[in-house]
Amino acid sequence: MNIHLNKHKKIVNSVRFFLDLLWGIPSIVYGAFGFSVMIYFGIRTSLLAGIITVTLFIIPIIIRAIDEVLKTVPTGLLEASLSLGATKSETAYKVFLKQCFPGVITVVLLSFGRAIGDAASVLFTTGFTDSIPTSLNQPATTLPLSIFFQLSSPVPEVKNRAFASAVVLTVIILIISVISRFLVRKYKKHNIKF
Amino acid sequence: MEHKSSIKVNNLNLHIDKQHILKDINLSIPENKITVILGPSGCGKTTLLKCFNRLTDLNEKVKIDGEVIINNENIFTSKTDISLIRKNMGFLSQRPYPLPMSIYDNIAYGLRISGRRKKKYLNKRVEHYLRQANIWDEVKDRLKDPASCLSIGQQQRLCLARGLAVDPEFILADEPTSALDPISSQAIEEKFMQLKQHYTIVLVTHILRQARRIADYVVFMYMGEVIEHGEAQEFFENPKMEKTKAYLKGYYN
Ligand SMILES: Nc1ncnc2c1ncn2[C@@H]1O[C@H](COP(=O)(O)OP(=O)(O)O)[C@@H](O)[C@H]1O
Ligand SMILES: [Mg+2]
Repeated sequence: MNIHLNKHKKIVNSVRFFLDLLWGIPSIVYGAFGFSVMIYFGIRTSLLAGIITVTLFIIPIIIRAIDEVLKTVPTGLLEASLSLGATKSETAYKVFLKQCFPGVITVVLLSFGRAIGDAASVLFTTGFTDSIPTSLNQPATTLPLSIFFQLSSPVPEVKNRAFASAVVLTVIILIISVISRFLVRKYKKHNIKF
Repeated sequence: MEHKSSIKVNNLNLHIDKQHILKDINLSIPENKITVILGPSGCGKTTLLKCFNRLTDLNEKVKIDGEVIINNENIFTSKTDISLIRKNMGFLSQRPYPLPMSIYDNIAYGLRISGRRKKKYLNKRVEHYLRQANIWDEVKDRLKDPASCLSIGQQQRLCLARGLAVDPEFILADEPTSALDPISSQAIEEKFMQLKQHYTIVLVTHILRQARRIADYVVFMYMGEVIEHGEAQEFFENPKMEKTKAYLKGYYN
């Protein structure tokens, strides 16, 4: 993989630059973009639209972060495997991927955490509702958004629901971090530190 | 004394982009001896060593012309089986790179990719090569532990064992002791002295004293050229070129 990337330095660098740009765009711009596309096609706010928007804004982050992880694998390690007579693909699967795996898990779970906690990108695209959606084309809401709207309500019951949402959000994030810690520790013990 | 030569380099030139890194190298490396490639940093020692097992292929910008003949075959032809060439050369790098797996698997890796999978056979071979590299006693109770737990000196010996496990005729070592403490370095040097009975060893170093201790044959490089090469005793006592004399007096260090 690294070997392949090194071949096309120019293309790779421009793709990296482009993804960095996408990464830098605030998620609300993705939301606004999704919203204008929806208006253009006359689609109503829905869970599905929100999912698509979030995916769009999380993809550059994941790709670029994984790319950074892959870059940390030293050439010396690949040379070591190749000089034992391993082919390129044996080296890629048995050495390269193994060395990268913990980093990739971290990236995916962190991005997941970011996606689940994001409010701005879905503000326009999923709409808002107080009830749990039953199908993909119904409006829905994310936990941070529901906290925001419910907290500003004068009704104490609704306000309490905001606190409940906050607890759920915290617990989800907590579980994700614990799982990622566990996986990373399990696979990292073989990793060579440099 | 005539040597039957096992590595022969003819008019080897190597460019990276427009830089001329190795300039018209002609050499023959004697069998079952320790040949030391000596020279200041940046003179092309590592690059020359990597030509011998074609690790230079990894860099797309490298252009090579000339011949490296190993056991009567030029390895820079399109017909060359690169895997076979590399298996025939145990390679030790400047710092150890254990593979991201257990101690046992580090040694078994090379055997498995050569198609050896029988548990019994692997166990026997792993023990054999760990003993060969003088590391068996230190690791025999924790073969399943990750190789990254070992000290750096142990890691280098593990890498030596791993290289020997694919049954090479040659050992290429690129400053294998430069990251190690004096005791580990000595262990590696002593090991090489024993191994030369069965292997042809090419050792890169910029440490003059190390070269004096273990070299049978010396190749002195400077700025991408081979300045002088010859029997160790002759080389150290009777250097012919001015640059060699200056280097031996320590002017370039
Ligand atoms: N990948 C590379 N790209 C460009 N130049 C390189 C590369 N690798 C080595 N060189 C150049 O080749 C020369 C020889 O390097 P090297 O063989 O590593 O020297 P040594 O091992 O004797 O210290 C140096 O001048 C170095 O700058
Ligand atoms: Mg070097």
